[in-house]
Amino acid sequence: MADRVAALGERICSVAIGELVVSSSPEDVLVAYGLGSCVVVALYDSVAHLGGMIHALLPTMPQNKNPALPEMPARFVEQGVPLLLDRLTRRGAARARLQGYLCGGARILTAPGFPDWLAVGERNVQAAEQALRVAGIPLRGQATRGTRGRTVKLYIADGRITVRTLGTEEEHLA
Amino acid sequence: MDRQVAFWKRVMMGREFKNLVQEALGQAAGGLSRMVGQAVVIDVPRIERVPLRELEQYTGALDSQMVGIYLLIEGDVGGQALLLCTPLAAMRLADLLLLRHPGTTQALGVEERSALAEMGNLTISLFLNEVAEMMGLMLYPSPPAVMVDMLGALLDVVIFPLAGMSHELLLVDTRLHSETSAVEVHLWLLPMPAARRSDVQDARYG
Repeated sequence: MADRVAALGERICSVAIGELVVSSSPEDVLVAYGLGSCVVVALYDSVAHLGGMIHALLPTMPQNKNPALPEMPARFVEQGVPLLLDRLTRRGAARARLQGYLCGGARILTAPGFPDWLAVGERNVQAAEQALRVAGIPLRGQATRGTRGRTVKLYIADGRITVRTLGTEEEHLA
Repeated sequence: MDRQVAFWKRVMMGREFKNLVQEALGQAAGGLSRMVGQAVVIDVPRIERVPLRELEQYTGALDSQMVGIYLLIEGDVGGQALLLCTPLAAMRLADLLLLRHPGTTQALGVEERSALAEMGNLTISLFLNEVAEMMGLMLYPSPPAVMVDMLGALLDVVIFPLAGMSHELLLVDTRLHSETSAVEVHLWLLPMPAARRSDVQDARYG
């Protein structure tokens, strides 16, 4: 929990499952805690000092989505990435300056005897890579796949991205 | 509404089923007590609706290390079962299961994980047997999986089948604990939407 304490002048902004957060406040640190098969797509414009992330659960919106529920595009990579891009450019980010980062997409359930569709992490990563390719955003770094959960932070002030797995120190992705 | 989810909602909201769940969990606790050689108590189960955006307030820090024992519920009704505890509680539980002096287990290796898996299997099997008998259903668990990781990563496993179906987790939450040792395990039971359930069956039998 020690890393939950914001450093002086920092404000922790938790990005929960299915959420999209964009910020240009230099004190903001966007954090997605305990990513398993979920994937975080983070975009950052280093000139405008503007960034954002989505915390997506599935590669794409299921065809059998409950129609009674409101749209929730950030829960899905394919729908969430274009929305993140749109929110950032509306706030003043230049598409050509945006850098992309991916984290998560692990396979937590590794025991035998479970159906393959439960291993959604790999499909989340592939969908995110594809979404960035389609958007023409360069992928500058990723900490994806594997079998361990991760916590990822994006520092709006300078675009630093850190990733931590259990029992390890934070590592800089960018 | 999804037939599986509708079933779970109906049975969770009905008072008669609440009694049934409690009775079935009592059977599970009894079996677990016999397995570990001391009384395991089970709390009155609570039906919870937890919005995904409030998950962390309900569960605690998503980046904290936890141990999860996961099983699919298969048969006439699909569902998921997740037993959750801290690593310390899991090690004390392993002491009990492996007939060790309290405090002996210092890590969760192959033997300890196997014992925890067996405990999960026994608990959920006894619970399902009781529910199946009382309701005239065929229910059985998948093999158990023991996972040690950040809580958020463990919860991804049970949440993602519900993505697109709901903004909240509908679950039965109860606590198994020993009155004589520092063992406390949360047991969650969750619906499996019909669409996902057919995925399971296709993968298993296709």
